[in-house]
Amino acid sequence: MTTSPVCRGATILVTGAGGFLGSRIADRLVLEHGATVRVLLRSLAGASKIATLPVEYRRGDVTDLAAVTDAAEGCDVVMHCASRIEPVVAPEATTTFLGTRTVAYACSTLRAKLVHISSSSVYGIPSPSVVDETAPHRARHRKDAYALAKIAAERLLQQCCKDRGLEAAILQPTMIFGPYSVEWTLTPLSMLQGADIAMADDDRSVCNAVYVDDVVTAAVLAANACDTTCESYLINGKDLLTWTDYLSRHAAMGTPGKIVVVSRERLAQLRAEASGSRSLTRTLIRLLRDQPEIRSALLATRMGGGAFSLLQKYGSRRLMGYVRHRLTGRRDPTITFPKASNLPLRLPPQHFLDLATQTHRYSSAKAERKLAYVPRYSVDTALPRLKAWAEWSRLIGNARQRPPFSTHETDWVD
Amino acid sequence: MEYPIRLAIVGCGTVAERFHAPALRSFQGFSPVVMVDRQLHRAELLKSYFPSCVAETDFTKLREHVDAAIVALPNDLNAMVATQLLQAGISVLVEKPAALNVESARELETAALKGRAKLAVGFIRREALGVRMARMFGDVRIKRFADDSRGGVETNAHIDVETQSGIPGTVELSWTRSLRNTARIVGTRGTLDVEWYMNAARLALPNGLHTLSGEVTGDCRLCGGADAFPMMFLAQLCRWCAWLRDETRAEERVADASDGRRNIELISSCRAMREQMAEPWREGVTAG
Repeated sequence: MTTSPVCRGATILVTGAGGFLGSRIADRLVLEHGATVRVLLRSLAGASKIATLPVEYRRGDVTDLAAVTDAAEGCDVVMHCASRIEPVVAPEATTTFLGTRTVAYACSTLRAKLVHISSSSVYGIPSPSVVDETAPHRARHRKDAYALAKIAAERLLQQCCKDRGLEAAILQPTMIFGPYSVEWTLTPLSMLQGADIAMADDDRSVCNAVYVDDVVTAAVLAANACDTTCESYLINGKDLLTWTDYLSRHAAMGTPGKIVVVSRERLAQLRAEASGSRSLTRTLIRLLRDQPEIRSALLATRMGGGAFSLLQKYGSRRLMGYVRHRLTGRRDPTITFPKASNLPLRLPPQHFLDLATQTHRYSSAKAERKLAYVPRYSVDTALPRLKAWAEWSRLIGNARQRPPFSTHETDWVD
Repeated sequence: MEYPIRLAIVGCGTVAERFHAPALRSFQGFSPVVMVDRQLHRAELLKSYFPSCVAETDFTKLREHVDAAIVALPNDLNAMVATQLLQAGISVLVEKPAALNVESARELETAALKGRAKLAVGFIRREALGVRMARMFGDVRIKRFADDSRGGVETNAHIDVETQSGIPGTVELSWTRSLRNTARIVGTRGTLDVEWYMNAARLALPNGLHTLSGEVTGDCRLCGGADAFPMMFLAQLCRWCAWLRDETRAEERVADASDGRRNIELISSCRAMREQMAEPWREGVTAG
């Protein structure tokens, strides 16, 4: 277990605890470090990932100073994970910035240590092949609202440490993958359910992937290193994989789709085809047809359920049949024969394509030197955990084969 | 019982506002006359949906004014309020959970059996097609129960069950996963899936040669089931009204006090044999 004199048995506030990283931080602080964890949530609806834990709930917005001060009262450490992507507002008006400002003020007043979760995206697209914390802060482009907000928040935090004596540390994790990661785990797995993914045959990219548990370990270690110098630490994983490798590992978990290596010309052709078939109506209908959970969620709303009920009550059988066919792709009754084994070939999501052009590697050397951070997982060693979760989540394979009961398996802890 | 039945809603929270009130507006069997909530503004909000209705903060004043009441309160208050209403001769549809423990559920059942008022329990998903199909197999016995609580509340549960005739089954419940949302019967000659929220079924042959999909129609007990969430509340209301007026067959009645008690007993027996759900991705990370 990671040594952490500050976190062991401490009282720790986690903001953004309903999210992917925040929930795992809360999980491990409670289960491994015996910490008393407090969480600040806007509503209990976002608490499903941490509801299984004995945590103290505080209701409030991370930009509300009174709510944050109340939640941080008596805490030794605050793990600040709350962030939101708000592309249409100025960096200083984002929840990311305002929330960091509020949390920083509350921590400096209450003398609590602050571990701020930022992102490696603050370095934009750096030119050197190895990037460390000395690289200039620069967003990839002027519309990269996420990076701009993170840059502004880091600056504010460093100022707050100088002016108000706040003790803080900043973590800059690279691309975090793991259970519940929407962008980097769920998206490729979902996509590989119904399509093969095309990647360029001359892929020389570097996939800076770090497993979520390594970031949690780094956050716990960073709590020991909080001081008024407010140091930043890049947190990366073990691997030096290309994006093709990264996606291939996901396909190897047992998805119907696979990664198909194609020429740049074919990739450009696929891009042209994809942009031609993009229309809002078609996209919405495809989403409704392909995603039963979206259908169910819409029907569970008052308006959606009511509209459907009215349709059922007054709509003719023919109309209902048409609606059902458009929404679910079903005609009644229908006999379907097994689909051809060839899945359509599609491009990876745009955010993968953007990163698949980058060839730099983020260095965790400073974190290794100063925090004693050692990345534990490569994509391959994290795979058994990820695969178990993906099977359980019905994202791959046949989950009925896995018993859900404790079987005292020890092979999961490598 | 006179028609339409005079009705109160006790507890004007989200469930009452989003589901019971809209169902009542599209059903003529009840005449809502009183809305009760400790927070008067909530009662007044619901009152605004029904022209001849009054808002109240005290449920003990209902005796003379209503014949029946929907109780949709926080979990720990349902049993206490429902018991008092039953003792006052008011029939009750209480939201689940009707009680927090077996003793409390038995007291509630006793109160219902003693008086002339009837107690119904709002097991809304019994109106869903998938559940109606699963219930064709009769009562089940719990074989194993696992959940993922680590000192908090469970968000995933896995239950192995067995029907009276020895057919094994599994129930999976989740807040964090997108499950299939179907009732699935696996037979030797095929697998039948009935969706919960859509009137649709799918029959697949074990050799994977082809799949037959379509609506559930014809002379079977699935017909008449609700296939959208708001429709379940309406179906429940119709069934409750018919039961209050003694116009329903025993097998079509709404869930009653004994169903409510058996439900709490079932939950209690699950808790008694609880095992920790295996979640290897959540286990400890040893030091490197």
